[in-house]
Amino acid sequence: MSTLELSDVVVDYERRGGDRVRAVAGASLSVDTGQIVGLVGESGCGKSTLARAAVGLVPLAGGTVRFENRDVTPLTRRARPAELVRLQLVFQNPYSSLNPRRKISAQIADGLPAPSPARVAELCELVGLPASAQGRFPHEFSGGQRQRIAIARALAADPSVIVLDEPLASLDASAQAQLANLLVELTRELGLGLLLISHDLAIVRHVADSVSVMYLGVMVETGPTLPVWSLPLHPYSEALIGAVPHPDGTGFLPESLPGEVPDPARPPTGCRFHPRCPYAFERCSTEDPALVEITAGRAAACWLQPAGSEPAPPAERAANRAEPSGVTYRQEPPTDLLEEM
Amino acid sequence: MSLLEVDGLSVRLATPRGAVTVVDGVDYAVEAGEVFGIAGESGSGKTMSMLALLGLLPDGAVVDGSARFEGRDLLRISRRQLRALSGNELAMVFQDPMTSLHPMLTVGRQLTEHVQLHLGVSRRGAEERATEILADVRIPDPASALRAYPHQFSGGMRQRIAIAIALACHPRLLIADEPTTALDVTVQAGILRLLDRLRREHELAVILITHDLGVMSSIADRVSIFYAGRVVESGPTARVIQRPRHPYTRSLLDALPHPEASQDKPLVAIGGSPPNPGAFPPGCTFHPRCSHLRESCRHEVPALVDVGDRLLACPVDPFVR
Repeated sequence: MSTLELSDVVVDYERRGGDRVRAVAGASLSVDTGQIVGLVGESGCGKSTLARAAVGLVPLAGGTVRFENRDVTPLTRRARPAELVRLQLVFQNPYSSLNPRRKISAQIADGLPAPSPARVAELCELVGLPASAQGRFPHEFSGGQRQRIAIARALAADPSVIVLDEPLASLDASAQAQLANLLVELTRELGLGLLLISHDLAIVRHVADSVSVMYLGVMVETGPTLPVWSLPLHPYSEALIGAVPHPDGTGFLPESLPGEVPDPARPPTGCRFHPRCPYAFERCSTEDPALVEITAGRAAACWLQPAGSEPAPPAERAANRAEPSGVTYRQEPPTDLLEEM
Repeated sequence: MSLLEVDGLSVRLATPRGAVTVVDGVDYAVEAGEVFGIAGESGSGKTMSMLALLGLLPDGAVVDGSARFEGRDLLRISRRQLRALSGNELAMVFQDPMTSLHPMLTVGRQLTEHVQLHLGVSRRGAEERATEILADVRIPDPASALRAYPHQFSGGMRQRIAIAIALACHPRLLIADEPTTALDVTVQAGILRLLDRLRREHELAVILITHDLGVMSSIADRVSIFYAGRVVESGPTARVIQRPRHPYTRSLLDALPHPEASQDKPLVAIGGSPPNPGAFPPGCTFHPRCSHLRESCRHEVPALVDVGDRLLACPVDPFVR
């Protein structure tokens, strides 16, 4: 049993007019201590909702979230159970998650079981803030430093798992590098477990031990980071990775993925990715593939990837797939349109 | 002669604490049909140097230098002349299409108003042009898109519409300020491909402002690296990115996770943080963060000089090979 375990989590939102939107539609994920798990996907795929569900900020419509063998119960008017204090969340925007009118020392001390100026100083040092930071206010700091403050505040509770929702977005390259290194250090030194939600795949590739790829509320691929990167099994992971620009001066033009994440209130039939998938065939539009183990530690939810098979790129699998009628199911837009959308 | 030649551009903003220099003597030239990249961290003056060209600086700003565009100095011409130029021969696309598009006006309205004004065509003519340009930026079903409102489109589609508005009057120069920063990588790739095609098909010059050297590397022909209001290195993208010679350019690249690098190597972050405008250090503005500095770097402002394959503002030049 992992430290944080999400099983078949379902989260519904209600739209004005009573429309039910299933933001997370049965997603599983686990985080162990000493491990960084990356969660990637386009905006609108449900990753932030899953992060909120992981710490009990939104009620579940199905499935379970277990932390240190206890159910994580949704937040109510009552105090959050004391045991859950070891499960922390760091928000994306350190400009709004810190109180502008309180000193840094006071905000970090909020997380401590008992006030202790020595511990506050220790935490500041741990995240690389100068000792003089304590007596100052959030507006006196840069974005990167504010995010360090937010992390120090989360660490004050002596957590075993921290969920970070886009912690590196809106930071400059250098601040991003500093913070990414800090996250790796904290994981290794304090034996923390991190769930790192990010749309920046290059950073996730660099720091995460394992990665989960999410599309329209479900996991489409999970596995150890580097193997997933070098040989993505799901067409969606392949598209995401192929879209990352390379800062190498070669003029490599990233691949685009046509279309956009559909409205979760009306998900496509069959495989949720099939309307955008370059390899889709008949079965994909009618039957939803389950996330199955392809090879040790790697799972994918794609009809092209049978359970227990040798890892092979989706294109290769698609080429080898016998075309029963000789007719391609998918209506191809003109190629120039396809490559640019 | 280049399409745009900027010489000694300086911008000082009026703040409650007095005038603050945000751009300090910047030179560059942009040729027709090329993508010219301006890269740098926030606060490096990249955006302010562009707003200066378009006369969009906040009140009280003081601009020096010259910016010759098709023989006219953008910094000297009257507001009226500048208005006639911008939106017509000069166009701009901003980071966030949700704030640059008017939420209560249809796409058609926003796409035809300036076309009628600048091209002097009838409403019907403007609508024809609008449909054509929407198709050109690959908006599906352009005719019905004209009747829709911005909120009915996704972020990527909205940015395409903003680009369509910018391109409707056949500009010769498009200034794109972080046009893909707010978008997913999958959508970003589409916009980059679009810009790449438009410049080839329409001989359009693009100034691409971005903090993302990956984005820069994919479509910019030449690039200038900004730091604290100055250009520190400038040259062909492949040269600058593959063999950076300014210590700042090099550390900026070292800070990036490379798609093929090993995971065990920590990212090399630059010590300290970029200086705030108003508190730029004397001498070379990068010297407090530089590990190659000499005594002279502390008080002598390095000139941007031609070192063969690029322009470089570092007399130490530690990475010359």
